[in-house]
Amino acid sequence: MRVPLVIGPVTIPEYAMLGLEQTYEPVEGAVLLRASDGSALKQTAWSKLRTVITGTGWIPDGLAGIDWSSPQLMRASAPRSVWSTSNVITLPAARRGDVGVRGFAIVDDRPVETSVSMAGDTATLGTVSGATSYYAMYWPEFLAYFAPPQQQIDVTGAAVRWRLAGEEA
Amino acid sequence: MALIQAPMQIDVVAPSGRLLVAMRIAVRQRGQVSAPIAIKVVSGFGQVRAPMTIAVRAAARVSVGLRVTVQDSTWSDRSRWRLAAEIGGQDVSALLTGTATVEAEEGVARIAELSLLPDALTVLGPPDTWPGKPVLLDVVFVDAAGTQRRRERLFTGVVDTPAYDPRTRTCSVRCTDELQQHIERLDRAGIAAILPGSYWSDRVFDAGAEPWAHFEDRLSTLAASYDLDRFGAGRLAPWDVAGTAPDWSWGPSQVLDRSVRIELAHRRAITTTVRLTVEYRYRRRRQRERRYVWKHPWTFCDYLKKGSTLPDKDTIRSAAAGTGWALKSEPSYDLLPPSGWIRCSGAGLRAWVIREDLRQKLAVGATFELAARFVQTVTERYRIEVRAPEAVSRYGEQLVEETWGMEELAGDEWRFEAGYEPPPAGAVRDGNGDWIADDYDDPARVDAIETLIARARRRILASLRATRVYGEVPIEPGVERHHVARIQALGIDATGKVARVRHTLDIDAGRATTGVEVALFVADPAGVTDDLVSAPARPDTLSPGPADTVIGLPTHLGGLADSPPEDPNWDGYIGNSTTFWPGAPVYDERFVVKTPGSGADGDPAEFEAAGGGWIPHRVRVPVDALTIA
Amino acid sequence: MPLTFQFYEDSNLTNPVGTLSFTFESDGSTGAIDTVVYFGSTDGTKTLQAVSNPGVDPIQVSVSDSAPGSGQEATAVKLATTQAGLDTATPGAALSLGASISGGVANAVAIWIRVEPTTLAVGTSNELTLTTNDVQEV
Repeated sequence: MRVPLVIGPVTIPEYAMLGLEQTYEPVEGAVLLRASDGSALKQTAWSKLRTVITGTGWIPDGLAGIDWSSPQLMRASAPRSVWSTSNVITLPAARRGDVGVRGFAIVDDRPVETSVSMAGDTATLGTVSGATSYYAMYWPEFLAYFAPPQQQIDVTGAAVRWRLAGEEA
Repeated sequence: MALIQAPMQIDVVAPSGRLLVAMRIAVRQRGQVSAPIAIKVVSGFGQVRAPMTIAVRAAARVSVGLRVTVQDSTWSDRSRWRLAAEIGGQDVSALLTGTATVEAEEGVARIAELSLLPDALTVLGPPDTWPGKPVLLDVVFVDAAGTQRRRERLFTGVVDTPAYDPRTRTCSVRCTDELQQHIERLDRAGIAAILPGSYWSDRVFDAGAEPWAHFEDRLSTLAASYDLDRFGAGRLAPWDVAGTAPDWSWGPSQVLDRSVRIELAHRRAITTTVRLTVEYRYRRRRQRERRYVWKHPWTFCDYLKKGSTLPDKDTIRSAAAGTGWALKSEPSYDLLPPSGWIRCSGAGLRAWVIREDLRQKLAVGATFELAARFVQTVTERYRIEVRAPEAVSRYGEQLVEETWGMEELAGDEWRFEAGYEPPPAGAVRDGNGDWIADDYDDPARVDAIETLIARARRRILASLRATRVYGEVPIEPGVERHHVARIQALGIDATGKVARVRHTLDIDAGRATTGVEVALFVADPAGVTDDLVSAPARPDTLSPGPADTVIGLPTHLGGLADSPPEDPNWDGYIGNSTTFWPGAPVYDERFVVKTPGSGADGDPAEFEAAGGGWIPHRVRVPVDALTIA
Repeated sequence: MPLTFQFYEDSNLTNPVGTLSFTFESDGSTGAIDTVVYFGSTDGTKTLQAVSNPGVDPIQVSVSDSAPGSGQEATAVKLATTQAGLDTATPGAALSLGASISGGVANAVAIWIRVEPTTLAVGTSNELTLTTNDVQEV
């Protein structure tokens, strides 16, 4: 199942993202304090995501018209997941609404797809007999400040590589 | 005049008969027919106007929101935090950046430093309008979902100095809790009320001082600090916290690694003993009175037999008045007996005749009282040694000396303005008979000495709490300078009064910590108790007796066989016998009155309290618990 | 035209009040919180009067609750003209400020406010407002 990547107003065409990789990296104002007996206390002031998307394709990405000084809403193509022993899972609110949530039950260490019914941020997965745990997969959506994309175009070989990095606003 | 109308009717009848003219005559009453006419005269004419204003005003209500927050007192998770701030009533939480610090040190205003994003200029206006705007800084603890759970105040004050960097367009503000202005709003009674137990004397401190200086003067007599808490309310915090259960206790699992420091006191900076010498110089007004008695030594019979010159009353009086001392009252005189028969032994009755006016003029005896006023300067000296024995045994005797003087030397001239005046009300009798009235202000003396003792106590105690232990813990907004804290880590266990608090909240790094410094009294506890602050008793300043206030004036008579040569230094009556012994010296007749002068009592006198020794005043050192292992 | 009369934080009428915030602990350990605001105008030429009968009916300050029956109630607030008067004030009662108030810093009226929450349920309530009756400036 292909989930299209949307950056701001632009939906990246499929032929521009024949190869797509997205990294999610947490960025946080946080510190791990150590007490004098070694006990640790983590203090967090804020926590956001940094994402790097690299794509390869036959046609350019189509991102040239975007105003990179404003934050853009990114609808991701790469999913993230939450695991739980219960079939009722609370998902983060920064989620794509246009692409649904997929739920899986883990039976014998193998994922078995199951139904998902959403109520707000809570996903209730259909129970599967023999399931030891469940997990829900969702596609993130958040406002991010991006640096203008880097493009590498192989003119004679008709291959385009592009890279876009941004941090959650 | 009316017309009487007589309508005539003429019938013209066909010819035949008589011509008849019928006449009808109506007679009416004469009079005037009048139809009343009313004529109104109106002055002016036009439209009547009543001016009307219809004002349409905004009927509005003035209102402000009341936000009441009840926060969960059981929420203890401090791991997720945010800063919240209000400047000039506007929420600027979203504009905070970088590191915010709040520093509170004993006896000094609380200072906060914040950095703001460039949008602050839009929200608050240009930075030059910010000084004086009220500032509130809070730390907010949130749960995992980002909901605010607890909000704790860190700082309440006003913007003191904004700084603006036009290149980066970031603003930083330095804010103060305005401790000095808080004090300057008080009057003297208000300052005394916030510093109970403090002393003040106009002989030690400046009576015309500004409120802040007056406050510092009073505080210098207390072993305590006065600071504003994080809400801006003032608190007096005594330094003596030994034995009190700590408000905060942090152990090795809270005190951050490598943050513990200890500073030990320097011996040279310690004062264990203050020797106070207080001198009180004042005017002692003396009124010396002497009663002079003169009596001619002979009996009247001797007088009749031998005869003698006698002084005039006037001579005696002018001799008395001419001394320069005041005559208390007119002298009383003994006179010769009046003319009559006198019986003397061995001579029978003798006749004695004297002219009455002569009799009234001469005197055989006189009594008069003279008085003089003079001033003596008296100095009372008090030597008080304020000492902390427990500190002496630890550090040795570290001595400081202070000398203070008080004076009451100004005053009206002390003399008889016009003749004798009795001693002033309240005058006491000195041992030597003088009446003395001192220009003495005992309450001022007591106040001054007690203030100086209290100051010396503070000086000693302040120097004994230079030992400090410092530790840093995860953010603890409630730590105040009037709390007692225990820091235990790395072998150090110290419990003492909080002397300094520093909150550091770094938004970029996510680190929020509080640095706490406790002050510790260090000495060898020995169960010493504090002596009560009280001024020593006055020394005895009266002269010993005896009071020799009666002076007998002698009589020297010449012309007698045994009359000595005349001595110009004689006083009393110098006269001659009227039966001259040949060859006997004849004296110049005169009446001399000598006054004793002030003598040693005119010279300044000094008296020492408690016999000149050092009056002890002991200071207890409230030793804090400190273990270094 | 907006009214020049406002609530200020200080007696010199330099800092207008934004929102009055009171924070209490849910275990009741915070007692009542007292604070003072100053009601007046920096424009000395204006006088404030009640609309209903100008110069006769008093100007009143009261607490209005936009959601009575839930959250905090108006009885959480006591009003008085002196801090000592708060002890005897009726909770939730209006405070009369006289038939007219003149402008100018010297004529500003001090209003003392004591807040004791009616409920200690954890949460923030924004439903209370300190407000005057309908007033007009002359």
